[in-house]
Amino acid sequence: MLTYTLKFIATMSRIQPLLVFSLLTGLILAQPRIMVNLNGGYYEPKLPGFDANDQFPSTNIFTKNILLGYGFSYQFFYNARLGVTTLNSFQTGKIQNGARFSRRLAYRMLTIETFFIFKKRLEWNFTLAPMWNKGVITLDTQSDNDDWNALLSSYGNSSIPLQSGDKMKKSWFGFASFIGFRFYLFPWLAFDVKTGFMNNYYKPENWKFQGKKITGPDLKLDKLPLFTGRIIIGW
Amino acid sequence: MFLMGTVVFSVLSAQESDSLTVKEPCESKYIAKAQKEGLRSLSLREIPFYYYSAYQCRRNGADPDVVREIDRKQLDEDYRNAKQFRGWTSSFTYCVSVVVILFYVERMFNS
Repeated sequence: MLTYTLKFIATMSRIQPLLVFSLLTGLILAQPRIMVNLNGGYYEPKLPGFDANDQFPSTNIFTKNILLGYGFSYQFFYNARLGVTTLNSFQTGKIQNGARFSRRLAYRMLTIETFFIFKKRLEWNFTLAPMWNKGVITLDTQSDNDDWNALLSSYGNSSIPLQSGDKMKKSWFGFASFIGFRFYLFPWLAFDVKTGFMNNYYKPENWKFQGKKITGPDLKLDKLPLFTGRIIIGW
Repeated sequence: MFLMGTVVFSVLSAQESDSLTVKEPCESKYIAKAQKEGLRSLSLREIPFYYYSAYQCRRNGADPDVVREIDRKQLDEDYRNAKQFRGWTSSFTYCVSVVVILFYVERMFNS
């Protein structure tokens, strides 16, 4: 059984480029209904892991509540689209001891959307989206390194602080659901607003840093109302 | 992989140069196809050529209504195709509506 599985994986890895190539060629030659979108969103998470932690710079509406992202979708049925959308929450600044800090929460959705055009140019749409989200915290630090200092001083140099940076990361699942309204300015350009919610199964445990599991910030990301606006360009 | 894609795309695109040099852009084969079969009949490969022809057509002012008419017809066709739910999409819509409405109702009662 294991042999067959390994053979299957080996065969798949060989034909995978061919599959991807066929898919791309198919998209180029076929009649597509592809739509690319730029997103903005608003939500109100509770981030005690950042807000109540005086190590981090204080948050504001742009770093806490505003989401920016992009996505694309493919209409595979008369009334249905399948797509991928990412919404990101960013924060950058300096922590207490001066090191540069950045934080990104990426809400990545696999969207399944049904819609109906109730009047020419006007559409209601309904989205269900399983999510695979990601959090990344980056610190760029400066520190002295004894080994480098010894080498540098052997040539008569003074010590130079080393730049180093690393990330702690975590992924978690969730789901989102929306009801939206879309206005088509042209067949290829539309504006879309959605309201709904997202639910995240986030726990502070099991962040990864340098290959080790650590505890991360406490974030309350479950049952969050979410509003988004999109500009959609499609063919 | 990328090279292969580039080569194939170039070969496919190379054959289009003649049609772009049509003296009357409003009569290009892409505009003709869109007029006859609709905007969505154009493949991804043909779309840039169509928009280029449409831009030229509009700029020359030969027949400014051609592109507008194609857009209008496409909006009509989209409306006809999606003015009512088909197959499983109505059940899906019902489920999504219930989930979202229940979420807000629950939230309203909790607050």
